[in-house]
Amino acid sequence: METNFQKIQQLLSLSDLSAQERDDLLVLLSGATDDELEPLALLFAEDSSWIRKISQNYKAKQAAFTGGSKAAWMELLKQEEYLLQDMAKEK
Amino acid sequence: MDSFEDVATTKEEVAPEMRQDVGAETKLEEQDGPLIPAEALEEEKGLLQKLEQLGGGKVKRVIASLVLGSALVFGAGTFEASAAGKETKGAGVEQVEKEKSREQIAVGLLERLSSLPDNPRFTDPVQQYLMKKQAARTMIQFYALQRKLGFPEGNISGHVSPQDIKEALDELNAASGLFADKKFGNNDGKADPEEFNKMLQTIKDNPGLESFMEMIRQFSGVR
Repeated sequence: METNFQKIQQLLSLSDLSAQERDDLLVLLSGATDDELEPLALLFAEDSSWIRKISQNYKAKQAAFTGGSKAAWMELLKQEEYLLQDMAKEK
Repeated sequence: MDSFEDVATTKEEVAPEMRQDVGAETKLEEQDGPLIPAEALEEEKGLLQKLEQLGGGKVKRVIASLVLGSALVFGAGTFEASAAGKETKGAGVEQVEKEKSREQIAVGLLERLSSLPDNPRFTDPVQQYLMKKQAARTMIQFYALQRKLGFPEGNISGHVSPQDIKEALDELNAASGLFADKKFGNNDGKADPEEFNKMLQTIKDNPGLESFMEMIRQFSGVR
């Protein structure tokens, strides 16, 4: 049976992410259990536009973590808030 | 909106009545300083939980995916500070110098994966188990990087590809017979089926070895 990781790998291969971006995302996701990956696999399958959004979100989180600035992290949370409120608006 | 980076520029698109005062915006100006992973994760979870009410299943999946990303980024980044991280540090220069061959290095990692220490920060046994699983995955990723760079001395950093991880997993898998002999058998340097079976029987209760097996499955399709 196909794992969620393998499903995500397949969906990423069909996305417009560069090979490097796909690799970076897969390596990061390899730290998750297959159960934890289920929402992500479902999200990518139902709306492929989320592949790039999530990839960019994770990259931004890595940058915030590397920079170690709480202000950068709070800015990121603010963006997540807007993103979800935009989703509600589109409903 | 085409990308997450666009989100910051779209705030005026959201009608004021749809905005919810959930905290991130108001806290931004008053909070600067070092980023503390545990606090940052709690802040994000708190914020997103309040936003869950905005939508149905898709919103929940987005929220779960956002939180997962933070856990993975912080989990990998703070690994050395964790109890399990001490094990990885031990697997660095000093231990590599003692271990003569690549196979012995791989066996050493499998031994550490199979006996990850408890993290004193967590008292919940389920969380403890999950943290060990996460730690094991990070240790294997770190091993892939060490392997790629030729096990250099000192601090290392760099990029690993899925192929690098796959190769590292293959190497660990090849060493698992010797590990089973050492850990579950008579340590005669030969892997026999009985010893290997004993190892397999422990996997379901061993978070480190369970993660190792899961990663082998996950990366089986990587070429």
